[in-house]
Amino acid sequence: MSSECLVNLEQVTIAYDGRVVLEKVCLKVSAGETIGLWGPNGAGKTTLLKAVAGLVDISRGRRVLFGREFSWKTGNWLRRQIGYVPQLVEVEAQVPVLAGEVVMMGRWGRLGIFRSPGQEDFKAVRQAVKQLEIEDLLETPFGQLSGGQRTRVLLARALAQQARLLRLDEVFSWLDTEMKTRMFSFWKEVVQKKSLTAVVVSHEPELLRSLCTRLIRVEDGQLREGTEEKNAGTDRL
Amino acid sequence: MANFGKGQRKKMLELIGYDFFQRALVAVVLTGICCGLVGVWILLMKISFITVAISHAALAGGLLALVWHRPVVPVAMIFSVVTAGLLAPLSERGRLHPESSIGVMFATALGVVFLVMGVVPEARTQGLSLLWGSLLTVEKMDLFVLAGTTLVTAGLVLACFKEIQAVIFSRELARASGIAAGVFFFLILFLSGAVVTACLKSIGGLLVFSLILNPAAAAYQITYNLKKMYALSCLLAILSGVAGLVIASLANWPAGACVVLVSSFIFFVALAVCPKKRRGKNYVGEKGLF
Repeated sequence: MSSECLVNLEQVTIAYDGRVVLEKVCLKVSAGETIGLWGPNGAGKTTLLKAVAGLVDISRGRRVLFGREFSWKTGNWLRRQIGYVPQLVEVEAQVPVLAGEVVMMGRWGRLGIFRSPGQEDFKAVRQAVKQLEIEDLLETPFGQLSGGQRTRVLLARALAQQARLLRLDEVFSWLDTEMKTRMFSFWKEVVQKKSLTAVVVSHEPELLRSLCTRLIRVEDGQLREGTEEKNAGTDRL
Repeated sequence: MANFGKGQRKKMLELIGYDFFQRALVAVVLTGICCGLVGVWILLMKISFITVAISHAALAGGLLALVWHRPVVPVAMIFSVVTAGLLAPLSERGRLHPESSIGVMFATALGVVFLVMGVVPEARTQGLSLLWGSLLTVEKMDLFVLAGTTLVTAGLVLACFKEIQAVIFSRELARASGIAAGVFFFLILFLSGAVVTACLKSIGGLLVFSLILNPAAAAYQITYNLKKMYALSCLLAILSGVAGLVIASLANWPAGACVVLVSSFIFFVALAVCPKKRRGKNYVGEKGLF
C-alpha cells in the first residue's frame, strides 16, 4: 500500500455558531486506505467528512490535502480530487435531469467553462456506468429513481470524476439487502482491488468493519481510533 | 360577428403600424426571453422569496432615483446588485435563518417604497407606473437595456449551461466537484435582479414575477429536459406577452395585467394537461444520449 498522505488534519477545530463540533482532531488518510467513520447522531461525522473535502471552514488547526495547504486559491483544484456521494436528503430530486446527466456532471469540474465533454469524458462515464450496472437507468429522470438507484447513480458520478479520494456519507442506508450484497461485490471489485482511497460514514459499524481498513469512532467532538487491522476486540463496537 | 372580427383585425393592423406598438412588441419578446430563462433558475432553485426581496430593493432604488432626479435604471440596478450581494452569503450559510434575513430585507425595501410614495407627491404617479409597468410607453433606451440584459442572461445560459445545471441540481455537490458554485449562485441572483430591474418600466415591479414564474412553472409540467424547459419557458413567456398585448389593445385594458393573466391561464392549462404526470413511470427519454 502506498504511503502517500492524501489528507492531513492537524489539531483541527470546527465550530458552528459558537458551538464546537470537532475539537483539536487529528486525522491522516494515506493512499489506498478505506476509513470508516461511525458514532452517534450529531457526533460530527458528516462535519469531519466535509472538512476532509474542504466544504467547511476550520476555526483552528491545519488542513493539508494532497500535499497542498487548503486555501481559497487551492480550494477548487483540491475539491476536484475528491469524489463525494452525499446523503440523499441533500440532493434536489425534482430538478428535470436524467440519471445519465447526473453521472456526466462528475466531469464538469474538470472541464471548465466554455468547454464541452470529449471522448475521454464519455469513456470515464461509460466505465463508471458499467461498474455500477446502471445502463438501464441512464434515460430515466433522476427524481423517478428509488433511493438505492439514486445512490448508485451518485456513486457513478463520483467514479466518473476519477477522483483520488472518495467520500461517502451514509450511502448504504438506502439500500435493501440484495442491493447491499451487490454493493459489497462492487466495493471489492472497484475500490479494494484498485486500491482507491475512501472515507465512509455510516451508523452501522458492522458494515464498516467489512468494508474498511480502519475504523474511527466520532463522539463528543473527538476521534477514537481502532487498531490498524480490523480487530473486533479492540474496536469496542 | 364577422364584421366584429374584421374590425378587430383592421384595428390590429393599424396599431402594428405605430412606433409605440412596435416597441411594445419588441419589449414583450425581449422580456419573454429574459424572464423565461431566469424563471427556470428561480423555480428550480426555490429562490422566489430572495428574488422578490431583490426586486423590491430595485423598486426602492428606482423610486429614490425619481426623487433625486437621477436615471431610474442605473440606480435601481445598484440597489439590486447590493441586495443580491448581501443576500447570497446569507442564503449560503446565514447566521440568521435565511427566510428571516430575506424577510427583513424585503420589508425594509417595501417600507422605503411606500415611504417615498407617501412623502414625495411628485414621485407617486411615476412610482405607480414602476409598480404596474407601462408596455405601451416603452422607449428606445428601455429596449436597449432589455436587449443588453437578455444578451447577458442568454450568454450565461449558453456558455455555462453545464455548470448552472450542476448548481441547480445540488449546490453542495457542484462545489464538492470543483465548480465555483458560490460564484454561479451570486451570478444567478444578480441576473435575476437585473432582469426584474430591466422589466420595471415595461411590466412593473409587482407583476413581473408572474411573467417570471408562470411560464417556467408551465414548462416544468411538460418536460424533464432542462434545455427544453429553458426553450419552452421563453416561448410561453413570449406568447403570454404578445397575447396579453393584443388583448389589452383590442379591449382597452391594462397591458401588464393582461400579460400576467394570460401567463396564469397558460400555466393552468399546462397543469391540467400535464404530459409528465401522464407518462409517469413509463417515461422514455431521449435515446442515444450516451
